[in-house]
Amino acid sequence: MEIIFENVSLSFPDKTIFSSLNINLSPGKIIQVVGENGSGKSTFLNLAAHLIRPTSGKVMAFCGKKELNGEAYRKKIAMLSPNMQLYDNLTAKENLKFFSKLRGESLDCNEIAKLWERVGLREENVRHKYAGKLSTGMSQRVKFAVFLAAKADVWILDEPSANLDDKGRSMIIKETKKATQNGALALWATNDERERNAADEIIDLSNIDRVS
Amino acid sequence: MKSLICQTLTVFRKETVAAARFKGAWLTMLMFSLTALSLTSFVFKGTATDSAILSAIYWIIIFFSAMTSVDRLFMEEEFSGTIQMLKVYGGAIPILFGKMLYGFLLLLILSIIITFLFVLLFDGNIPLENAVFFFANLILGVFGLSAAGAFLAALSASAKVKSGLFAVLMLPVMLPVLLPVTEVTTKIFEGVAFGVSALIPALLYDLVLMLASSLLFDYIWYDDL
Ligand SMILES: Nc1ncnc2c1ncn2[C@@H]1O[C@H](COP(=O)(O)OP(=O)(O)OP(=O)(O)O)[C@@H](O)[C@H]1O
Ligand SMILES: [Mg+2]
Repeated sequence: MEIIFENVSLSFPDKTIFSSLNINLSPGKIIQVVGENGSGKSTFLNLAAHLIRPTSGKVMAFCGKKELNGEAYRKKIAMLSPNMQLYDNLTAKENLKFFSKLRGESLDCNEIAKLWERVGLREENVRHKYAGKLSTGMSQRVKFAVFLAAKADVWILDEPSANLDDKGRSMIIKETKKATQNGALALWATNDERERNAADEIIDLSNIDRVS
Repeated sequence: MKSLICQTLTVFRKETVAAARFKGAWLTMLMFSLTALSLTSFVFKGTATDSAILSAIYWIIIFFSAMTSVDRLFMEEEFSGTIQMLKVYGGAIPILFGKMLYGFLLLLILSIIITFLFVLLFDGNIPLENAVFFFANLILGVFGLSAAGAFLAALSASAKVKSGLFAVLMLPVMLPVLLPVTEVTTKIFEGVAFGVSALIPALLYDLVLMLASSLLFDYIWYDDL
């Protein structure tokens, strides 16, 4: 998958975030998006995920030569962001099964156990626990398990290691590296210096031109 | 098509599990309708009540019960941020249909309870030969109310349209289903003979609702289209 920003401008009623942005995001790389708070990192990721539409210009997603849109594109992406929450009144496991079922993946017990292991959760700690009762870091890990279960080609990570300990941070870096080596495209918004060395490419939103 | 059905059922199952655990929403609905029923039955006690009034009371109770539950259908998603999770991992249509199905079955069960109590309390007369008609009409009405309700609730939960909309659109969207079903119910209470064709307006409107909401919903739910 390749994502192309073509002359993208985005304004909110009170503020222009991007103007005439041209960027090509190519697969097989971890592309980190950095910049101070409010510089538009999350907005950039939402544009790439087709969750919001630019005021003008286009955000195009290509699978080879074929442009993907709507549902066909959405099936290729997975996203982890502070705006995304699990269902508090379902258990961790039910959340995982529910969201992957929506993606058309029926997970069996083995696959679930493997996912818990990959995200560093002990099954007995999450099996019957309502997601609303998990610690912030644990719930972030469950969300990452949902993310991994989607087996996406485009990884969109908004501050993925927020609330995670050092082990958790290196787990995310390791998984993301593995995915990009297998051809995925990873977009990663962060302000954490400790994650900088995971990047193959850096987009710094502090230095972009905001006036058209 | 097969995956759409499977995903719709996944959403439906999730709603049912959540409802079994947290009874607030449907208990409110049940108590609401019981209160309204007993109130009206006390007020009309012993008076010979007109069929038109009876059928209006009957449908008003069902309508308000529907509204107490339906406008909560997307509340959890809206306030807790699961909506973005659904946007990324699930398609718009299965989510809408799954919630509609849940809202429909919940309201149907409730309406059947209401119907029995109603017949009891008002010494109602649903002539046996019309019972099938009565329930067919009930199903059409309940389906229309929950489909329209789920769609409006989804509208107001999405970022594009804002909250007052649910209230404002209720009248034009609900009336076309309420009017024909109330009319049929009146006729059944009166014991007037009528044909199957009386059910057609509600049936047509239900189909239009389903079609329109499935066509529109993708555009409303996602910002990129
Ligand atoms: N829906 C919205 N309506 C109006 N303004 C918005 C909206 N979303 C974001 N903004 C504004 O756009 C700017 C960029 O927001 P964004 O969330 O992309 O920043 P960020 O770089 O992710 O910040 P942080 O490091 O705090 O996560 C902010 O000034 C924010 O107030
Ligand atoms: Mg952000």
